[in-house]
Amino acid sequence: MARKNRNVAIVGIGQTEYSSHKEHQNQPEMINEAFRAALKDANLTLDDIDCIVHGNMELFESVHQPDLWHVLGTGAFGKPQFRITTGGTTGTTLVCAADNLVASGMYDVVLAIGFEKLQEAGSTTAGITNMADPLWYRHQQTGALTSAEANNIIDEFGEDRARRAAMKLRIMMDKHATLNPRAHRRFGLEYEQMEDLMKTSPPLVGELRLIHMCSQSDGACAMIFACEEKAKAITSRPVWIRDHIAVHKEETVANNYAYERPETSHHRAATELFARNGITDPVEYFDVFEMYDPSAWWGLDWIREFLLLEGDEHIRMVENDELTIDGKLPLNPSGGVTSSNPIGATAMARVAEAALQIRGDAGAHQIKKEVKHALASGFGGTMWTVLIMLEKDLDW
Amino acid sequence: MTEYFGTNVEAIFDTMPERFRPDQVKDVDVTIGYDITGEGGGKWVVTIQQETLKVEKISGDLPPCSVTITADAQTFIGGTLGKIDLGTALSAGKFKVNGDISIMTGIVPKAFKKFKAAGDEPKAEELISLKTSTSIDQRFATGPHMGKWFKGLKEKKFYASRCPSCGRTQVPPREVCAECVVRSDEFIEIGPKGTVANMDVVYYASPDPLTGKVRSTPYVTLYLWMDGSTPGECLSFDLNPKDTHRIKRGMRVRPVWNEVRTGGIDDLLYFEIDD
Repeated sequence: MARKNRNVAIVGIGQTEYSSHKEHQNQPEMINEAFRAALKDANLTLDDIDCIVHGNMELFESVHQPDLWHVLGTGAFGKPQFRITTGGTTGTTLVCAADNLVASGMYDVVLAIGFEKLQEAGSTTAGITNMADPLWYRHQQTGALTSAEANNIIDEFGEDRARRAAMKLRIMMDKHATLNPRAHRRFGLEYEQMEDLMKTSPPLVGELRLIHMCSQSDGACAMIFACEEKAKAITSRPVWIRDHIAVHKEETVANNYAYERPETSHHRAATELFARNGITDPVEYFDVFEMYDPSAWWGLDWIREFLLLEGDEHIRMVENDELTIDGKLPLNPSGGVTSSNPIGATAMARVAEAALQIRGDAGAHQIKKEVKHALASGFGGTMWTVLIMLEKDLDW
Repeated sequence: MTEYFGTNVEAIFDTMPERFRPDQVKDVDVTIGYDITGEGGGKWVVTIQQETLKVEKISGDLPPCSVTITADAQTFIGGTLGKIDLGTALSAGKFKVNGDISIMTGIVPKAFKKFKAAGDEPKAEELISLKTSTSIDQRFATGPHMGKWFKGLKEKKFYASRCPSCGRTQVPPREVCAECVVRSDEFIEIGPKGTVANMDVVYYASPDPLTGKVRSTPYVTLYLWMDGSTPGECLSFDLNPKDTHRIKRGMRVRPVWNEVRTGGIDDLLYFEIDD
């Protein structure tokens, strides 16, 4: 059972724009841009930060121990700094680490920074392949590209309904992204293009087409975390981290695609997190869900896994516009991961965007109705999950 | 001709012969159709064969080609000059590729020197980028469980470990059952045939991590429910390329072994349809 010694709040958020290239900055400069934005947002200075947590995808920029070079951007000189690198979940693991460091009483104010600058290191698909067991599965890996989930969805709901739901979700995410000036890809897609894209978008793997897949983006996200006493002094609008959970599975690729599908880490994480917080109906409870959706197909399936839905409830939520920014449970008003994917920052941006929604500071992609309860997820490896609950009020 | 970004579509095709690099296209035999739509557009067929180039402007319909590009003139010129991100245009459906996309990503960039619009001279301020490539040899210990697996392959046998608590099999064998948190030291022989539980038909050309060479596409990765193993576990491996267009989920497959087996992943060539 997870237990906190004291309450922890998000008190500062800074994000760069996410884009395909950032040739005008080197890595410490890019990190520093997000770092300064977070300090400014919290109205703090470097002196107020007790500890720094730094992370990205291991070796994606081909730099060993980038945290040392990046001291120039993080301001960690002479301060405690930890490096966290847990693949796709890195951004949310950074949040968990900062939450733990503050909740434990070890530090009062912790800054966490996640980043990626992929244009500097060639092929991420080649790099990500090294995550697989080197003795067997590495040979078969094609990075994060797979059609196996799409095949399962098509088996369950039929070709036409499944393909339409995945493409509708993708276009919905693009519509949200067009409202977010920081989003990398803003195509301006229309639902009328659905049929055309289902046929003409180049196939990557089986049913997974280029339009379904996330981008490779450059960018950084920084967040500042503080204990209750400090948080209340720093800001009038702290966003409370109610709880977080991290669930891992065995590191085997193929099991996810077995004849009998084992329980996903998403489902297990959601079941446990909601149970220990007394959430019986997540769709009713949460006002926004920022989900790590690496592709529209995975995204479609994971709505069901995370929200503990059954049958075709998740498909119906897409078909009935319940996940749009004005819907019953807005999904990724930021545009999500299919729109922007600065990998080490991606999962953290989910938490940052969820917190901005609670504060009411999301700008053009702010949800119109009040946001009090937010859920954010991270995903990485062959199947592991971080799930984080945020609250507007300290009243649970 | 209508101009975009200071040039026109004709100029791109007219300069192809002088930009052509025959030394880069040995053994290449492809035809590329271009349907450039809208104002300033037109249709062309570019043929690369036996290190020679033919560029033809076509009136009427394009003939069948190895790959056909459809884009409006502005997108085509912007993409050629690098002023428009082709990945984005491709995703948004503004730049369409029908046929073998690897020709556009692999062959064309090598076959031609970059097109430069007149007056598109390099700017005074130069961005410096340094390119290096490194090759690192790696050795991984198998431990006894994967050792058993590879020794089995040498003898044309598949071994799974079985959990003494829940009874599930693990393929390849693993030291513990993570669900039950117990050691799983019992081995059973499974296969050699299996059923296709799921599969990936891969069109995206990625490097094989074991060799660094880009794989030829399409190829198929199978997720197999091996005979005698429990259904929550599967083995992933390659399909014989000859079966790429026939394979379906639920089909039965059999292994094809390498004649020379050394106790490594190369002992198994692929699986193929068992008919």
